[in-house]
Amino acid sequence: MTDEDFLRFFADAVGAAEGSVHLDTELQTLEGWDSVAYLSTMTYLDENLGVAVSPDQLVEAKTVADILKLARAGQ
Amino acid sequence: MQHSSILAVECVLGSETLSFETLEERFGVENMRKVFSGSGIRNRRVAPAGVCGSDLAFEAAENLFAKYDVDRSSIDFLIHCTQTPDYLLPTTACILQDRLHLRKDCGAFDLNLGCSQYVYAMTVASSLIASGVATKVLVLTGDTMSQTVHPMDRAVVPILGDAGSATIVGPVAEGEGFLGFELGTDGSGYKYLINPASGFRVPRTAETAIAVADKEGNVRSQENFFMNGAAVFHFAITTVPKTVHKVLAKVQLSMDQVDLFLFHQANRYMLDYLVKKLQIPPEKTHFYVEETGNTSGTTMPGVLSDAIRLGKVKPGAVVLMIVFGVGLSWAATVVRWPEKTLPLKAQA
Repeated sequence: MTDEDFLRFFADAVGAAEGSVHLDTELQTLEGWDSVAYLSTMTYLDENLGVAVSPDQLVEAKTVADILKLARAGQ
Repeated sequence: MQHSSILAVECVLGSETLSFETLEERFGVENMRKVFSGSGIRNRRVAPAGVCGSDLAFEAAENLFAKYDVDRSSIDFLIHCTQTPDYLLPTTACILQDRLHLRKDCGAFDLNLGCSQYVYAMTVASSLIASGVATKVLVLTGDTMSQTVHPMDRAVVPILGDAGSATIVGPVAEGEGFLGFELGTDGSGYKYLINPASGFRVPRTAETAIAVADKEGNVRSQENFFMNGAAVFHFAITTVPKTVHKVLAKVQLSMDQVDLFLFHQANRYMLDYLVKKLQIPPEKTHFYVEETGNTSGTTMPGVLSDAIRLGKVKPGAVVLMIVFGVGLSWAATVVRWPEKTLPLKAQA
């Protein structure tokens, strides 16, 4: 899974236009970053990296890059 | 040691349907689209006000006695599973013993667990039979979780349904029935599924009855059921696959040797992912949640009775059942379906 793969998935998960979400995008600016987006993000990372990032960790993430860091640290 | 198995199971759903369209009107089309994408539950069956979980359990038991050739006087133990009892005390099982006209020398108690209750009850029933304490155990489940939620909490209203069930557990030959169990608990997650002001830790007051909206607009008071869906999902996708492998190792069977995998019917999105993660062929599982909702501890007897009805459980079949939820608590068992289950009553 590349950064680009994740960004494509993540834009769709939060209901944003493709290409409008970047690694430094702050999560609190995304209206669609809600509990349903948490589920799809956990599923995507578990499926693609074998890491089930917990919701407590997701709450701590400030940017999209933070989510990727958390997931990769768990590998 | 006397071996035992499920010999008959009946399930009753809440008599009313809370439809997708009704909830679209309540929560809005876009919100329900999102909820549906994360749950896969379209409609749910709920009990009307005034109907308790024990009423559904009672109805399921009477249906079972009417359908199968079994004498209720042969029941010498009753286990009633619920988290929505008639009263905090007395134990609802005692009331059900009388309502069902069971023997007075019949043991009876409630088992207070939620989604994991059915397999836990099977563990207890099989142990009672193995130890000679009982010979035929009636296991009832019945919950009306829809009556614990705030009607404007879209995190839980679109998920939950109400149901009850009745199962007879009795003796079978060695090599049949329950082959083994795997149980687990993680109480550190107790706040993920909780009805906070429902007992003595947080007594009900005027303050606990005040409903407030969370940041996603879900309305509830401390007297309502709360679910942290993301935390429960994380728990499920990490715990369930490990537990499936552990119970199979315990009974010395491989994934390929299981004919049917039955999961607690929490929500379809979660189940689809678990099936994919465990690489289970679609024909080796069964779903029963889209039109019923998550009926708490009754999802397992519900999905089992539906699979039996559809001919998916044949004598000799190896069935793995796994349940998980509030507690946090989980349980799995593997059953080799017996050659002889309870016969149907002869037609009059």
